[in-house]
Amino acid sequence: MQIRINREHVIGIVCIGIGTLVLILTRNFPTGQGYVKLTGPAFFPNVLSIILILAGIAEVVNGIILRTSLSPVAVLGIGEQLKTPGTQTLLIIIALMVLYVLFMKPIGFFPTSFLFLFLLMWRLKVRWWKSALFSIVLLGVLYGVFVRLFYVNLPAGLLG
Amino acid sequence: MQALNSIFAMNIIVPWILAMFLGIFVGGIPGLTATMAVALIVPLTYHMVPIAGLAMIIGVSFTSIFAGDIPATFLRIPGTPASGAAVLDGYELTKRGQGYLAITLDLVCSALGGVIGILILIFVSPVLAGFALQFTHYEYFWLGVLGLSMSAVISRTSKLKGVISIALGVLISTIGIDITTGYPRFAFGKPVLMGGIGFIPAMIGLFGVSEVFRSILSSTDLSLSVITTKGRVKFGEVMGHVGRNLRLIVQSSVVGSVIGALPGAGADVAAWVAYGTAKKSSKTPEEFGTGSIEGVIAPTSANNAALGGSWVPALVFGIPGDTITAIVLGAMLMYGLKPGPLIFENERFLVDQIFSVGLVSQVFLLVIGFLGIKAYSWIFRFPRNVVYAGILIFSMVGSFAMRSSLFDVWLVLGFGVLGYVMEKVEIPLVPLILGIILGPMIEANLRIGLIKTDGRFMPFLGRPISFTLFLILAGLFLWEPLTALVRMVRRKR
Repeated sequence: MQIRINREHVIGIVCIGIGTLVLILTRNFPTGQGYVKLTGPAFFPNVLSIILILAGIAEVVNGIILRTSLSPVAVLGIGEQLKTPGTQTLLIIIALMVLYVLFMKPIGFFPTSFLFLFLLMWRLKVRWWKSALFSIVLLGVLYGVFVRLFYVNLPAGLLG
Repeated sequence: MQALNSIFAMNIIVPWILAMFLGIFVGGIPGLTATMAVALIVPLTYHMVPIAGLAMIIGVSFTSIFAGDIPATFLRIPGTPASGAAVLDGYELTKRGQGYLAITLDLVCSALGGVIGILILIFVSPVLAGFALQFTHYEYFWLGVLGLSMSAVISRTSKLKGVISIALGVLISTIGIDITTGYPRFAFGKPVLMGGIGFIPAMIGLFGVSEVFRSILSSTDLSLSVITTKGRVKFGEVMGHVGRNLRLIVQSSVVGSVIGALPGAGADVAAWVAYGTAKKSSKTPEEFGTGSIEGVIAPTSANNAALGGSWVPALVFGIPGDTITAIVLGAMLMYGLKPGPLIFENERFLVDQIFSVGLVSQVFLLVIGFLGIKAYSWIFRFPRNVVYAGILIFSMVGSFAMRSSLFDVWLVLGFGVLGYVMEKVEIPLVPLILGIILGPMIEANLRIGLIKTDGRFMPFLGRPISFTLFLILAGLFLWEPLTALVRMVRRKR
């Protein structure tokens, strides 16, 4: 049997989850005596987490009431969604960004930036030679703005 | 006069003009907003004197709002949300071969709308600042909550989702050392988290990176050279239209300024309301939507005037009028400035410089905007995906450059994904960013107020201004359900 839940259910459950997590984390925060309790470090996050939990419950109820008018999200069909070309491109871009941040310091700003830009544009269907050309031009602009104009120390990495 | 002269120093005027060119470029690319242009500029202003940074922000906001009208007029694709109303009549005029007339008229009216918006800012804000001096912690608490609530109420999706976005934003603002007790909240012993979540990486991620993600997924090929540079327009003809429609320009600009001054409502709402108002007051309402000159003038005057209006609550109360001034507030705090009524006393010269920059920007807008119209025939030939790649790397390097912190780059990426997911499930982004900015102010005023009253909340409602603000807040949330209830009761009868 396929479990069908809609968007509002997911939002509601996530909100309740975050709110509960905050309530658990703030249990260890220091509290004072009397009215100081109200103004301690846990007070404000607790108020917000209660608002978030209440809003989450309302969103779940909304999802139940409006079930017929909302497009359902098939939880078990999520694999099919991931197979669409658009989602795959997006995931690859995010992966490229993650790799870029991870390797920027050890390898150096300029080599990683060139590879990032080249692979990104290439994936976005810009022809390879144009990708290489635009990558070099963009790197020149970045160098001019950040290194020459604002004296920012960009990671040198292997070139340092 | 001294303030006016001072803004022409080289260290101010050069980055200011360059920023205005960037605004033309970003604003004219469909899918990229004026907010994003401002977000990209802020990291570059970190090392500058405050007025140079503010001049860049003001300049880029005016040019990007105008530039959004260029693809709206020529391609029927609004460059920014504020140009939504510009597609109606501008594009119809393009179809009739009068595209250049429409966009040049649009440019002149944008500048005039900008001047009127700034004049309203100059005359209204000092008066309001005098009034705001009576505010205490109670009023500032309600004002902050009201500013946040407005953004939830006017969001196009449900109010509930707006509230969720606010709560998440304010929760994020509580990460780091609690300024009242010095206790590190949600830092998990990590020094990078002790300083809190930077507003700039959050904003770049939410408005820059997430928009690129969305645009890449919904991309249609816009790298078409649709515009021809052969268009010509007689300056006298444009000025003739301006002269005949001066009343409409003033009316739309005033409407735009007032809407811009409402917390949460920005240039996009202003443009639509001004369009509707112009249609109602027009002698030829049937021409609207078919290539009406009035239909071009009204929204473009209003969206630029809204920018001036949005600075009123930002400067006077420290409450942003729209997303752009939300970023301005963050930037001002970054420069060590404290927006609020006292800024008119403590930083009077800077305030005069801001006003001067606003007015002079309109003159620059005319020149740079005109060059921008010509340049777009070339820019539209650029593969749009190259522009996206450039924005992604500028977003990441810009946020790194602020504190040389890779953690900030991770934040950009994280907020980019969060922003994309939130937009997918129709949770508005603006309340979240406002929550991050206004959260500390609301918390500080609430807690200081509670300390003063020994933990009692009633004094928060005990003063006339604070009680009025509370009533407005209650009205915001209760008005719609109450009117629906009244309508239901009437129908049953």
